[in-house]
Amino acid sequence: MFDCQCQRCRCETGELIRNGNFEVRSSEPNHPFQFWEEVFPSFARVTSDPALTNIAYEGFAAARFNSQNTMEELDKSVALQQTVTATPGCLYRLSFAENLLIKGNGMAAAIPILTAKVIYIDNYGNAVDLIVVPILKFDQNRDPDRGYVYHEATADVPVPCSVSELIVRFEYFENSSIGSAWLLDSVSLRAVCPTSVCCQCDVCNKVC
Amino acid sequence: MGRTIPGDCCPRPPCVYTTQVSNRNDNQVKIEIDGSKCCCIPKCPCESEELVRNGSFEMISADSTQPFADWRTVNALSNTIVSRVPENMLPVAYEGIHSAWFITEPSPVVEQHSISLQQNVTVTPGCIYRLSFAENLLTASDFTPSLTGRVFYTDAGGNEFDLISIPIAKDINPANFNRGYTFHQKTADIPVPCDVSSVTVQFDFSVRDDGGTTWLLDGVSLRAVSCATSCAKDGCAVASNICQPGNLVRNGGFEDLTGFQGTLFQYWRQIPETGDLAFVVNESTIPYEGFFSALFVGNATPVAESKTVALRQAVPVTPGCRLELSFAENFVQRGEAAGSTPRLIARVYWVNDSNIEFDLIYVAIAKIDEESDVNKGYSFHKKTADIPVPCGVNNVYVEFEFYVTSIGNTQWLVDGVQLRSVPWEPVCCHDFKGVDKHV
Repeated sequence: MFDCQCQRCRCETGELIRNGNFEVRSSEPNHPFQFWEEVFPSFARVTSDPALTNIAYEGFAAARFNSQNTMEELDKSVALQQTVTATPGCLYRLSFAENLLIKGNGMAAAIPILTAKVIYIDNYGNAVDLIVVPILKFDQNRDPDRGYVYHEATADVPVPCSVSELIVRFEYFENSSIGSAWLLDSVSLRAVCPTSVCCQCDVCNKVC
Repeated sequence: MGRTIPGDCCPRPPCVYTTQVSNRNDNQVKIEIDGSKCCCIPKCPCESEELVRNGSFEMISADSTQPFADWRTVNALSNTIVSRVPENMLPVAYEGIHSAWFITEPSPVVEQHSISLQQNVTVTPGCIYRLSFAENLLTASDFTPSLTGRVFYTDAGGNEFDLISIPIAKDINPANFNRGYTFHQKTADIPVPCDVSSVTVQFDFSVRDDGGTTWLLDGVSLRAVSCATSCAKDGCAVASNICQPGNLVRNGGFEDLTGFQGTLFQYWRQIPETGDLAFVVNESTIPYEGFFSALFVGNATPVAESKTVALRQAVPVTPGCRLELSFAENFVQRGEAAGSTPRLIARVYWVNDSNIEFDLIYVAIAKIDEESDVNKGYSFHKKTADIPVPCGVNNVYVEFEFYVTSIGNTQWLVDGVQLRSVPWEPVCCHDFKGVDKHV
């Protein structure tokens, strides 16, 4: 770690996630909320319908993962993601709040899973996890409709020096017939330390 | 001697280069100081990774006497156990699949039950650490169960010194159990002493009952919040001029009830100081941490009326530091015939000479839904300012404003208020001497 204060060596002081409170909806296809993209929908969707998303952690709206009711037990999944620009060599912390509103069911008792991830794509096109937070809900009597719970996870390693883009993704999955509803709000990604570990003396000096 | 980098207010040391004057004499070197270049000094880092092992309790222990890998139970009293999910029960986890279940097993009489779960952790002297965890009181049968999360070090004489303590006690009140997980987080006010390299993370569970209490613990984390140590080490620089992350809010747990001039709570001021429509009182049956919390009440009225009350505290701060506000809130009762959505707004702001307020942190919470918003237990909130306290500003205000228009009685609890500086270097250079700040 170097004590450089040159601009190139500094990690961000501000919030990296845009519209992390899901207050701004979007009419763009596959974008239920501004800056957020819905990907890989399969018998499940992310909704921004105001009538369904007004149970908020902060502000007035949240994102809602809904899986459809089906006659048979099926795998149901969808993901919501945002790509953010990051500083190579910086360490980041993800935080969010979630609220399993309705727990679906089926013969095998559905186990809805919400997995929060921060990933980057390496030179070979592979997704590499920096942060993974898996949340599983087993109990119909003790898990659903218990209000929002805050989560926070910090990467153990900084963003590689060759990487300047991260994907913040929330993956929803369950195998059920009766679908679940899961709320997500206040997504935040922030730098933990002020200085990039990719900062080198010569880089710093050139900038200065 | 320092210099200021263009576009950067703080001085960096100049680069010092040494070159040999003569190839025939190793002892003679020429020292050049290049004031046009900043020089990077490697600092002595604190850990960037998680320090608690198996903090999610996903791994069982190879030792049959212990429930979880890397954790040990101590001081068990009267059939009190820590276990994985019991047979015939489904997992109830905060993250992952498993959690630690503190359980009092049935006993013929009411008696004192207690047990502790602990782990020793290697730390870096001079670093500041933050403890986080989530807990969920599933069932309780009698008296007031308590769970205290602690980080302490032990001196050579065997004395324990708390760096962090988070005491949680819950009355036998339906609003206190089976409300899902509640997140807790606290940062040590001081760094680990320079002669200490190991701390203990411990959870003390205690209740007086005849069995039937079940308290879940999950997501235990201990991480450094300072990026460099303040203790001297060879070959690197110590962190000296950083914003100190101690809690700036006094009586943020609302435990001190010796306030006056319109409020029960020491250091807090109720605005307006008097009023029948809305006011703030202490509440002892549903605390987040400690024994008391602040209860914002919109009183019942014959017709719908606008009811508003705020709790405010002036807080001295260091200019140039960024602030982080955290608190927990619990919307416990919605007044019937609400004419407007009940709102709680948490703010950190400063006021200029013209009495204009400037927000540094703003958190708005609105409870719109009729059923799914009410009495769901405490939610933890944390928000970091994007910009630092302006240079020249030495005080900010922390304020919680409650607002509702209704006929019925509306109640909202607030507890565990913390305002801390992010432990980065301040952007204002007032502490430096011999540097032209106007360059």
